[in-house]
Amino acid sequence: MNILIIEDEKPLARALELNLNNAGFLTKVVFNGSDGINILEKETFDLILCDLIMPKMDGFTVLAILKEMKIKTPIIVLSNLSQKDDEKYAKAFGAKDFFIKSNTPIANIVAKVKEILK
Amino acid sequence: MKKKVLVPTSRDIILNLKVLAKEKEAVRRKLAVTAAKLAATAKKLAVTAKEKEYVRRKLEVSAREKEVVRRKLEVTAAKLAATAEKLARTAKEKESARSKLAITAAELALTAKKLAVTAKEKEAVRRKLAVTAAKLAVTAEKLTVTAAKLAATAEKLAITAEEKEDVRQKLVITAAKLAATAEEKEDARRKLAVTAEEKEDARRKLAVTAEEKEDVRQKLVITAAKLAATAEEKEEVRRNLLVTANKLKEAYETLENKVLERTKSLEMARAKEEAILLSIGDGLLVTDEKGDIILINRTAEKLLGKKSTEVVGKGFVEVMPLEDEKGERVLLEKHPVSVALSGSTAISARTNSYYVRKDNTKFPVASIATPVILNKKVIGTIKVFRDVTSERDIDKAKTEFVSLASHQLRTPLTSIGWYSEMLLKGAESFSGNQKVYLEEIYQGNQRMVELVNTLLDVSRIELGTFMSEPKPTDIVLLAQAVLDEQKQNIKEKKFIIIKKFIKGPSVFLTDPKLLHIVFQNLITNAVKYTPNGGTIEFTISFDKKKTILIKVSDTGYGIPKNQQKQIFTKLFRADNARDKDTSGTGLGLYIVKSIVENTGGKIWFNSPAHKSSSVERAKEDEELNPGTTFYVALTLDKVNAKK
Repeated sequence: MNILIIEDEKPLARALELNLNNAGFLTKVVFNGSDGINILEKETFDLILCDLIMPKMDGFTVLAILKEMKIKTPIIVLSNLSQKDDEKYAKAFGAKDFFIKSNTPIANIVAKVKEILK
Repeated sequence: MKKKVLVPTSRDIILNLKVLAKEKEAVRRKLAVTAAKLAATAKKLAVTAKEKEYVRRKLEVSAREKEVVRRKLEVTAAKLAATAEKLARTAKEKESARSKLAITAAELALTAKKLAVTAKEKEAVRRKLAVTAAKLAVTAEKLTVTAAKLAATAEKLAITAEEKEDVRQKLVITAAKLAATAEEKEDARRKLAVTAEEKEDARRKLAVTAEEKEDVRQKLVITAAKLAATAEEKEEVRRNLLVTANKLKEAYETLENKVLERTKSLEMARAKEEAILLSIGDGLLVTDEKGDIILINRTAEKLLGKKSTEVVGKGFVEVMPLEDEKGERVLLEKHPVSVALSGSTAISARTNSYYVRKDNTKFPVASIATPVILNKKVIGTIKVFRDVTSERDIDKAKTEFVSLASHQLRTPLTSIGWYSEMLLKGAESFSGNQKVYLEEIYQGNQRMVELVNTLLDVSRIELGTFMSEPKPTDIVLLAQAVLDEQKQNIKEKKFIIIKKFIKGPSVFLTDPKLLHIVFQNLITNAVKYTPNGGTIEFTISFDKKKTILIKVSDTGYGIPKNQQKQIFTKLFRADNARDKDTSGTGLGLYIVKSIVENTGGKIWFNSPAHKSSSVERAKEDEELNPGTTFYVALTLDKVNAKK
């Protein structure tokens, strides 16, 4: 199982990578939306973890482009934006789930990934 | 003589006898008739004799009567002669009376003419007395008529006198004739008797007429006197009127000046008031009781893009169409002006509304419509409104700032949280103290995360962006989840938890996130401020059909009486709470109250505690542990299980 992590905060990307690898998943990390789109044009993944606020291209744009590209890979949005509208928009653009990072233990994220990819 | 020797037969004899008998009968009858005639004649003769006697006597009586009559006639003739003389005298008197009356009438006519002239003069002098003068003229005319009538009467009287003279002469002749013929006398007597009656009548009439004339004359004299007096009075009245007129003129001029002055000052005051109204910096719109616009000020003109002259007299809905944030027209009955018109003292405000300008552009508006009440009756509304575009922009910037700031704060907190979580997972390799330190880091981070969340909630409440998004929610499951979050603390503090939740379906239409915040705050407060071994009771029940009553009661420290009023105030913490737990923010109950009231619910509490929160009594209070009970009443729509 191959997971793409799009996260500009390097410590967080690293923590996710470590925990998912420990859980037996393969991961690839990119640090902005633009790189995410580039890699998704070439490779396919089983799941995408995507931040919202990022340089070069934000998560909302990534979601919109993926929707246009008709890529059906499940996407979990991980963000520290907590407005209801943020979650609403993300889900409207095709996000399967939305987590506020600071409020969510990393174990819960791993559990969710496992649940989706089961 | 002897009959023939021939012997007659018996039959012949019988026949002869019968003839003889018949003849005798006839003779007898003739004799009887004659006798009767004779008797009748004898009777007639007797009657005639009586009649003759009667006639004779009558004739004697008649002669006597005639003698009497003749004597009477003689007496009557003498009387008539005397009467004739008297009549002659009366006629002369009447003639003199007639001439006097004629003179009086002429004088009266003259007087009347003079009076008419006087009346006209007076009429010319004073217009206001014209009515009286007219009346006088009428009186004068009447007098003229009366005079004419008098003249006519006098003429008639003259004619009557002539007639009387004729009658007298005739009477003289008649009297002479009376001596000759009894019948003529009789006639004459009768005529005379009739004439005498007529004369008597005429005399009486004359007497009456004379009295009337006297009356009229006296009245005329009185009227003339009165007229003279009235003329003087009129003159005086005229003079008085002149004086009064002058005074009135003066008073009028003074009044006119005063009115002018007052009008001027009133106009100034009005202009000033109008200028004040028109210059108000907010849009001002005044309607009458029907909602038709009476006045709008310059700011309103500018805001609506409509001139005052275009809108005055028109209905407010037509002039200021109002839309909600979704761009839908606000219904007439929900328009603030309608609400104000139907209300008595209520002030109606509305947020998140937009006015549509003449060119169909919109602007967000904050407005207050107030009913204008006069004598307990709504006579119109005053609506004050302003464009809140800039406020909205500022709010938006604030929201974005808070949102971004909290995002930036959360990022390092996430790092700390996740990595300490990872370390704790492999905690076996740490020493006892290291593990405790790590736990502290993790808990501290959690508190920081909670604080950021709470601050964000507060800023949302204050910006009004804390929108409720109701969806079917199992409130019993939610309550259980909140208790589960506190499982660790409950276990550590050895609390007894009593749950009294509604039985059966418990899915209602509500915002789960908001209700979670409410439950969470009430339960964590109970956990924090109740000593070990205490009891926490969590009740969810139906109060009325649609009202859910949530009750969280504890056997904790309670809320000091003198601080109970402030308990829902932002950042306020009761003294005893501060003592027992330093980690509180003083924001929890503020947020809970805001959420409950924003969703149309009610929150209150009961804490029988504490007369003071002084340090001396702190221990006493602690021993008492009166506890606190929070109540939340929410009106929620039940969702059917099938849905």
